[in-house]
Amino acid sequence: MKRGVSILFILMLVLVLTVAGCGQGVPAADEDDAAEGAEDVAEITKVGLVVAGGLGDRSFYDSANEGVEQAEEELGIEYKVYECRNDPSLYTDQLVQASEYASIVAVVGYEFYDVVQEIAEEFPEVYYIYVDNEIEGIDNLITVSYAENEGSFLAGALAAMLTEEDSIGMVGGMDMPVIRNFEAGYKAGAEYINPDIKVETIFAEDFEDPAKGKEGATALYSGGADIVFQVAGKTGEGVFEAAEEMDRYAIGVDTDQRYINPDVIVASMVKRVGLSIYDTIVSIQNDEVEPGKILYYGLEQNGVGMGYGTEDMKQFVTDEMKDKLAEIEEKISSGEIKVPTAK
Amino acid sequence: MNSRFSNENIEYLISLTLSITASLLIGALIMMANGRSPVVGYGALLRGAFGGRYNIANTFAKMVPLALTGLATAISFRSGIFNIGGEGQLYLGAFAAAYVGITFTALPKGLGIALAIVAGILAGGLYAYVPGLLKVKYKIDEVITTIMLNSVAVLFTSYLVNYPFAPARGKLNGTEIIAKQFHLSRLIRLSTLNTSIFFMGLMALLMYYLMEKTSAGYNFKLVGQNPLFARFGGIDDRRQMIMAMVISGALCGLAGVFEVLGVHYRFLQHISPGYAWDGMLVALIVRNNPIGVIIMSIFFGALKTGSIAMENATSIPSELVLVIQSIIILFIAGERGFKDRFNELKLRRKIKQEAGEGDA
Repeated sequence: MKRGVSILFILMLVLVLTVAGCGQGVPAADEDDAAEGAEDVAEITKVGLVVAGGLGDRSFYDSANEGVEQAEEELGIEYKVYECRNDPSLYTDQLVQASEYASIVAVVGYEFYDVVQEIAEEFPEVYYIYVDNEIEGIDNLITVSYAENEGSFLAGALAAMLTEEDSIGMVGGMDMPVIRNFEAGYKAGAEYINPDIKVETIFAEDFEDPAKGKEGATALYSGGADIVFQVAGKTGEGVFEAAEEMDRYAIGVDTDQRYINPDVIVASMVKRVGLSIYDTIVSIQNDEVEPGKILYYGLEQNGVGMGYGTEDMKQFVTDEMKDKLAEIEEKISSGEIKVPTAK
Repeated sequence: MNSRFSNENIEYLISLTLSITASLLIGALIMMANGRSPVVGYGALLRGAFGGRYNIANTFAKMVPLALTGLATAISFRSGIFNIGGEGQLYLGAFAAAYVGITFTALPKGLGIALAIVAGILAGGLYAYVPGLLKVKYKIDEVITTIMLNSVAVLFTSYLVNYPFAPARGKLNGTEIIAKQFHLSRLIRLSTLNTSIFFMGLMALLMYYLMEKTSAGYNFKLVGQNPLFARFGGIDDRRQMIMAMVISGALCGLAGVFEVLGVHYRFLQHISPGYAWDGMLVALIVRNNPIGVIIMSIFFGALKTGSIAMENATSIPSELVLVIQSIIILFIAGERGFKDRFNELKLRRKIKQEAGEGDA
């Protein structure tokens, strides 16, 4: 018996060795691709997308990816994605790699604040579109800042209209400025509709772990909230799970997330990262950018807003509510409602 | 001298080489199962890790925290006290260094850096002293306490950078940038490799000397192998354990200091992607041998930089390297079992042969 195991093991090794040997003869398809790409560098604009986390969150980073995908389709650019998987030791490396590959680099994540300033000066011929933070005064760096608070104001108002318990909640990815900005707007929006509403926030301390999101949402639902707004990227998927299990409702974030579970996700507060990246690529190509500036994307610029899914999904938000939200939106744009910030 | 080249060590080196080869082969198999050529994949990995000055610099930059946390694990595990709290000690050490860097901005360069290093070492060391003391005085399992103190340190520093120490400019969960004179110089353009690698080398030499060449090192080993025997032999095993814990914590703290002074120039909420855990793997693979830790952390550093380059060049996911690392660990963990089986096989064959000869 024992001997049989050893023989099996040796056989496996031999197999691996032979197959590995065979592999050497196969021409390298990927290398060919790379070589082909190098030939027509001059014609095709290359875009590098550097994200602090990873794709597949169905939220923030995926939204950025949609922007470059759209640019590929409509502008004929070529792109490559560089994921840092929340590893700070990779920020510099990936940004350098992207800068060497591309002429426009979209950098997504507040985490790159120092690194992008450093690298942008090393590659003056590359344009950087930096999303989710604010830096001024570097000529090849355009930053895009979102009024998360304005979009969240709508989400809060909607939650306050839908709730039956007068108690709503929010699961934040991390206790940090961007997320607190969501929170400030959400709270103000809910109180605009109902001054006595109870709004509670739990921070999951993670953007990649649905289990922590589920834990936080379960606590909020058990505490009486019947709608929870998730602002936690991939962690938020746990919020949807908790909502389903406990028969409550949730509001999605960043992309229109209703499709994930249309029975519990009543709406989403959309932060159109992809749109702003696409817009900026267009304006760089048309030479219309003002270098070193911050672009603000609020409700007025269509940078944030609400998403209600598609027609075929069960609709929770009535037309009346939508009208009310449109009215609020106008008041925010005109300055009649001042949305508090927490940046 | 003899001990280093004893039979056992040579045998271990052989099994280590075999384990690494086998896991690389399995990695190749996975690449092929996904329709990729392992030659292209490993070629890109190798080029990414050693293909130029910049790449080599990156490999060595990744190695610094691994080597320090690896040495930290080595000294504690060798002394029979298990410091699983490296991550927390690293965070506190890093924060202490950042605190010095933003507070004592009037200090001259050398003195400032020295003070930051001392602060980090103290923070890490003291934070490890507590579970060490609990273990020795009240027999509270240090594995449990250190692992829980990790969360305490990580969450505590996360509070600090979000509230009392939040930076005035930029949305960022970190402290302010440390003063200019605290920045360790970068060695190669675009790479984060900095002078901390020399400090790290010095630390490695020191640890090697301590662990292999002094009677204190011998005492650590003895306590680790059999504390009771050590005690009867006149060694204060409790003191030895606490000392190992403190040294281990200090090294982790130092790893944190270098991340702040050399790489990020400020403390970040998630400054470590799990360096202490990777360092622990490094130390486990080489059985807590200080020289082995250095070599293995270069290997791990190369895998990390190489895997990213491989992903970018060939779109083979860099996670493959995690698989390879895990398989190495698996083989090493089963090393004794594999070896016994191999020896048994050899013995049986020999007996059969002898029996056969007897017949003839």
